[in-house]
Amino acid sequence: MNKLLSAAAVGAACLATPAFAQDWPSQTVTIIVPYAPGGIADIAARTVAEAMTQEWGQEVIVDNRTGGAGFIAATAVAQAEPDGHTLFVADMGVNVINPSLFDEVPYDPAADFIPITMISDTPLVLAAHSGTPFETVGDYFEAARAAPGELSFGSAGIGSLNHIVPEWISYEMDLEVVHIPYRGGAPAATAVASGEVEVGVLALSSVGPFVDSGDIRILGVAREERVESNPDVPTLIESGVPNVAAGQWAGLFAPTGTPEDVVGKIHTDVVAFLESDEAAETFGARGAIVSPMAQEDFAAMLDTLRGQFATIIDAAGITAE
Amino acid sequence: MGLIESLELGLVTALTLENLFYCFVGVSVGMIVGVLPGIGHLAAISLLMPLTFHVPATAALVMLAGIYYGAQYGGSIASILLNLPGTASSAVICLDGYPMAQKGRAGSALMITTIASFFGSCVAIIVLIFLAPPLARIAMNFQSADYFSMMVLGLVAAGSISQGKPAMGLASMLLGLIIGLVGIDVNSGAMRLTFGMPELMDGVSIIVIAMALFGVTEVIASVGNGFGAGGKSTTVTWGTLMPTRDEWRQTPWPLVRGAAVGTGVGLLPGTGGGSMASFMAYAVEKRASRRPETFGTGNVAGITAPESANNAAAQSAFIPTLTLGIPGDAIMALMLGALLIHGIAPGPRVVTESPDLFWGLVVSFLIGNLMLLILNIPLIQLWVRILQIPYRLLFPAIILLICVGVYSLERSVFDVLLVAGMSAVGFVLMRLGFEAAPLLLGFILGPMLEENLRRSLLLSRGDPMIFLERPVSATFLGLSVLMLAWVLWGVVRPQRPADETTTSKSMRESMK
Repeated sequence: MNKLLSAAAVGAACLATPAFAQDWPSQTVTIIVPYAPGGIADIAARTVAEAMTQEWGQEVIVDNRTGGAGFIAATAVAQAEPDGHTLFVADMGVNVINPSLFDEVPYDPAADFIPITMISDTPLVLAAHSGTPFETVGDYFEAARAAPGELSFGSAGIGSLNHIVPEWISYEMDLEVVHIPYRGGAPAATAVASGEVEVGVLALSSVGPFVDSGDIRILGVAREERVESNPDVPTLIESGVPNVAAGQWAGLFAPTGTPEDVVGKIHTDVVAFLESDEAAETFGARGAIVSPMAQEDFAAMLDTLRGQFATIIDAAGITAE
Repeated sequence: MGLIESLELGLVTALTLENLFYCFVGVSVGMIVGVLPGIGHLAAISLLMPLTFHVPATAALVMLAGIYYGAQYGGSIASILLNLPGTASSAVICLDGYPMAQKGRAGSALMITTIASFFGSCVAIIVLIFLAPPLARIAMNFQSADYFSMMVLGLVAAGSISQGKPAMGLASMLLGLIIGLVGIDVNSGAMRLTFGMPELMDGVSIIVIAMALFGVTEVIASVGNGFGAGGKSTTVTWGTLMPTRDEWRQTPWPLVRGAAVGTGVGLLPGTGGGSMASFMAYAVEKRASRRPETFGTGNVAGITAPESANNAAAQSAFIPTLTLGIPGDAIMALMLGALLIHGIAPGPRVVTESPDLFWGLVVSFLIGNLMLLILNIPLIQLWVRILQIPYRLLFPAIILLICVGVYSLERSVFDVLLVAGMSAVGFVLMRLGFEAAPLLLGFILGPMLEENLRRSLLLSRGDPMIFLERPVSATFLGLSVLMLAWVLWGVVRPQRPADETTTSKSMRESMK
């Protein structure tokens, strides 16, 4: 019994030992990703993991915990030992949309995760079928105003970013456009290309082949500034749509309680890598832009987005249940 | 891209060392599971699918497809030698193949079925090469309403030419449909049948279902058979492989008719691929024959036509799968699953956007069939010996592979438990007469049907005329009505009892 007790005491002491940046990482670091391999969040995590394995001299592995709109992965991270050995790569869905979309969410993104930095950003564009007469964002608004409820937009599913951003545009511009959900981003892009729906807010990387084949026309990009690869495409904001700027980004997070100096070290190292040419190239090839960010800026951006999205989701009556 | 360049691209892709290797592995595994009664190609494909996550999409599909058509070759071996169908589609081969073996013509029967398999496959591959690209081009303009109507035709076809009791087939399909509902509804975002478990929000994985119903359930059902399938040893000598001149003379027409029936059946979405084709080919052959009474006593045409047909169907089933993204049967549904896992959205764009995958796969079919031809004849002794592997070694290995495979999918213990639960339920259901194949088809087609129906109505703002206004949709709905009428006519019309009983009896046996 005494032995047991002392063993327990030693164990507790070990757990209680705070992790300091100088002896971190002392074991394998796991980055949990809420989506299946192949998506941009997964690629972001893998790229960072590979670079940090070399930087930290410890194995950094990616663990895809898919399912439940990210609930499973997010809960796992929220409950993980906050010692810097469990990290989280997550996106708008997990951090911004879920709390407004679902009645019950088993985690609180604002309270459970410390934002470290954004990793990459995939711009979203407002795109129209080439058979429509829309040449500019203005043409689309005019047509939508002239015939309320006649036009349709396709999305990757209820509550997806490409569902909420068009609703946001409609909210800002006071339009009535019908939402048609598809099972994922690729079928939604195909629907715009075949003309089944007139418009859609799609990832810039997914419309490329359709623009080349002449099936889709890009009207504007939902971003603060224009995209370097498509300098001719105006932003929605400069086309007269206030506020609408949101990309399909992937960001790095740690569970709340992770020692500040460890978070600081992770931030410094990851940002240093993201600023390299190698990182820019890797993400560029996927149609994404590397977006290292100061911790405070990332946190502030998340706060703003949560407020905006709560308003839009409520106004558009979007709900998953 | 012209046909020649396309085939060239396919050849270059298929002839890489990697793809050749996976093609060889696929057809060999296919042969083995085809030969062994009790382990179907569905089980083999679902088992091996997790292994393909880490190889390129083309190699993965080349291998999985190889298992499928490879099993069509192997299936007839057990049918002929033991009167036990190695796969459901070769059940009909028992009818004339086993009597031939009893007359000492086993060798020649094996030779003829191998040639028939090769011929049927080649015909269907040629049809695939010429038909798929234009079909994909047309399908580019298909919309939700068209897809909906095509799936209606698929379901009607599956229901009306179903094997066994139609009511049980329908019930099985409905059950699959209910399982398909689990998860977040695409159109409304509502949670259905998730019971508050986040693990169920994305629905039940097709691999979980396939592993449970085709893997574990089959193993449990075969456990009672004791040791290996080949209780007695059979030998086939080289000398008996050569068919007699009379047997040769009887082959050409059944070969052609079988290939035609098989290719046609495979093209229809929802008709269940190989097994339907082989039964239909057998029936056609019997009707065409001048001496129908010799069927069942070792008639060469009785093995040639069905064998040619089931291989043709196995290849032509890829046409709707690859060009439309609509699976013809459970296997094709798994192939679509493999595509999705590799991040390729099935549909008409696969042909134009991933030409190396599409044409590489098509050319690999030709190569795989050549491999099978070569594997089959000289190695016939080996395949016969595989029949003697004891089940007490084989089955635990399969169960272990299933557990590892399911866990590796999403590293979720929940999925493993789900397989265990579903296997238990599945076993009881199969004992009650439910069928696994229609269940899986309902699981896949049901949600697709619903999604497209509701999307079409959303797009038409609730006007059901959208299904009749679009010519493609209207045509498919018309065909569905015709097919239903044909089935009703079959029910009303006086039946020929003898004909019906032999076929349905053998069908029931094949389901065991």
